[in-house]
Amino acid sequence: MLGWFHKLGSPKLFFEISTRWQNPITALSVLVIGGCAFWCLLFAPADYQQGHAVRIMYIHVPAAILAQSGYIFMALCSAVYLIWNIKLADWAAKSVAPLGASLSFLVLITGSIWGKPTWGAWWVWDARLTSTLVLLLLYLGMIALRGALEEKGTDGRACGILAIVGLVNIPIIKFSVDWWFTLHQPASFKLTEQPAMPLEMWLPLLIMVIGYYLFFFSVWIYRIRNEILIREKKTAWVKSWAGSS
Amino acid sequence: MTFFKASIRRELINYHRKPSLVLNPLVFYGLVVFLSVIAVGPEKGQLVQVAPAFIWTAALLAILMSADGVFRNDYEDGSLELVVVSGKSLAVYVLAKTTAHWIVTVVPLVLLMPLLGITLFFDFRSIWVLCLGIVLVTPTLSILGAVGAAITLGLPRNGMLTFVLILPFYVPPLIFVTGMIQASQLGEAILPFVYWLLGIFFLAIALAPMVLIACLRMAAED
Repeated sequence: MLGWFHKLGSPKLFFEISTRWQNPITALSVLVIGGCAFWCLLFAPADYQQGHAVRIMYIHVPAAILAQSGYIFMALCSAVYLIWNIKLADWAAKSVAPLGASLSFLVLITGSIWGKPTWGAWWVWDARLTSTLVLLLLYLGMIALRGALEEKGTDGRACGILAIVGLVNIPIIKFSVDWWFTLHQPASFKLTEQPAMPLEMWLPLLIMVIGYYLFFFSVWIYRIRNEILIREKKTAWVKSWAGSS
Repeated sequence: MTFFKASIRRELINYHRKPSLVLNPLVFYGLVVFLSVIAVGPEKGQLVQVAPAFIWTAALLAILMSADGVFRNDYEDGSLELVVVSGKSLAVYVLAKTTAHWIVTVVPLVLLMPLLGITLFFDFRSIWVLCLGIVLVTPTLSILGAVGAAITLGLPRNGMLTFVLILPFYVPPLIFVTGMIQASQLGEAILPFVYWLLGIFFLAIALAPMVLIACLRMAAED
C-alpha cells in the first residue's frame, strides 16, 4: 500500500515527477495571484470602517496561513525523515525553512503596515504578533542549526527534532486570539462557520489563499529540485540529465 | 531509583570538583543585573518598575549558559556512550542531569535574591514573590536548556547557537512569570499564574525526555 510512498522517496523519481509539475504549478500560481490581485485591489468592496486599508488583508492573511502551514509541513517532513529515514524528506524540510521565514517576515511587515492606519501603531505587543515573531525566530533557528550541521557534515536529524519541538508554537499562534483578549481580530476562516465577512470579500481572500499555496509549492519544488541536484551531483542520472539539457 | 540517585550523586560530585561551573553563571547573573541597572540609571522609582525585567533576563541567560554544558563533559569523555549502551533508562539519566543542574544553578540564585532585592529597592513581599517565581519557572527553563544542549551536542562553536534555538521557547514561561509579578504588584491573585507555570512545567517534563533521549542517542552514534 505504501509502495508509492517509498517510490516517491527516491530522489531520481521525485525529480522526474516534479519536472512535469513544476511549470504548471508555477504558471497557475502566477495566474491565480495575479488575477486575484486585480479582483482584490479594484473590485472587492472597501471596508466601511477601515476604507481601502482593508485591502492589505489579501496579502497579510494568506501569508499568515502559509507561514503556519509551512511550519506544519516542515515538521511533517521531518517526522517522515526521523521515522522512515527517507533522505528526501530531510531535504524537503530544509527547502521549507527559508521560504517559511520569508513568509512570516512578510506577515509581520504587512501587519505593521495595516496596523498603522487601523490601530494607530506600527507594532503592539499583542499575543498573536508576539507568537508570530516567535515563529519567525523558530524558522531562523532552524536555518542556523542547519548551517551548523552541514558545516560539520552530519545529517539533519537534530533539525528534524527541533522542528517537531517547535510545533508547540503553532496552537499558541492559532488560539492566542481566542485565549487572550487582544487587539488582533479572530480567525478569518473557520471550517465550521460562515465567515464574518461578506461574500465579496471572503471569496477573493479564499482564492488568494489558494494562490499562495500554489506559489509556496512552486517555489518549494524549485528549491528541493536544486537540493536534489546538489546532493546527487555525483550520480550517473544527474550527470546524464545535465548533459542532455 | 538507585540509578537516579547514583547519577545525581555523580553530577553533584562533578559540580563540587569544578566550582567554576557553579560560580560562573552566578557571577554572570549578577553582572547582567548590575549592567542593566547602570544602563537604566539608579533612580529609585524607575528601578522598582523595571528591575524584575533585569532579573528575568539575567536568570534566563545564566541558566541557558550553564545548561549548554550539561551533557558536554559526558559526551567528550565517552561516558555518555557508556550510559547509552548500558541499557539503563536514559530518561532517568536525563532527569538526574537536569535535576542536578537545577539544584546547582537555581538554589544560589534564590539565596542571592534577598540581597539583590534590597539593592534594587524591592519590598519584602516583592522579594518573596520573585523567589516563588524563580522556583516555579526555572525547572522548565532548565529542561528546555538541556534540550538545546542535547540538540547542539557535538557541533562546533555551539555557544551562540543554543541561545538562538532555545530562547524563543523561553517566551511562554517568561510571559506567565512576569504576569505573576505584575498581578502581585497590583494586589491581584497570583494563583492562576502559578497553575499556568506548573502546567507548562508538567508539559515540559513529560515531553522533553523523549526529545532528549533521541538527541543523546544520535550524538552517541556519531
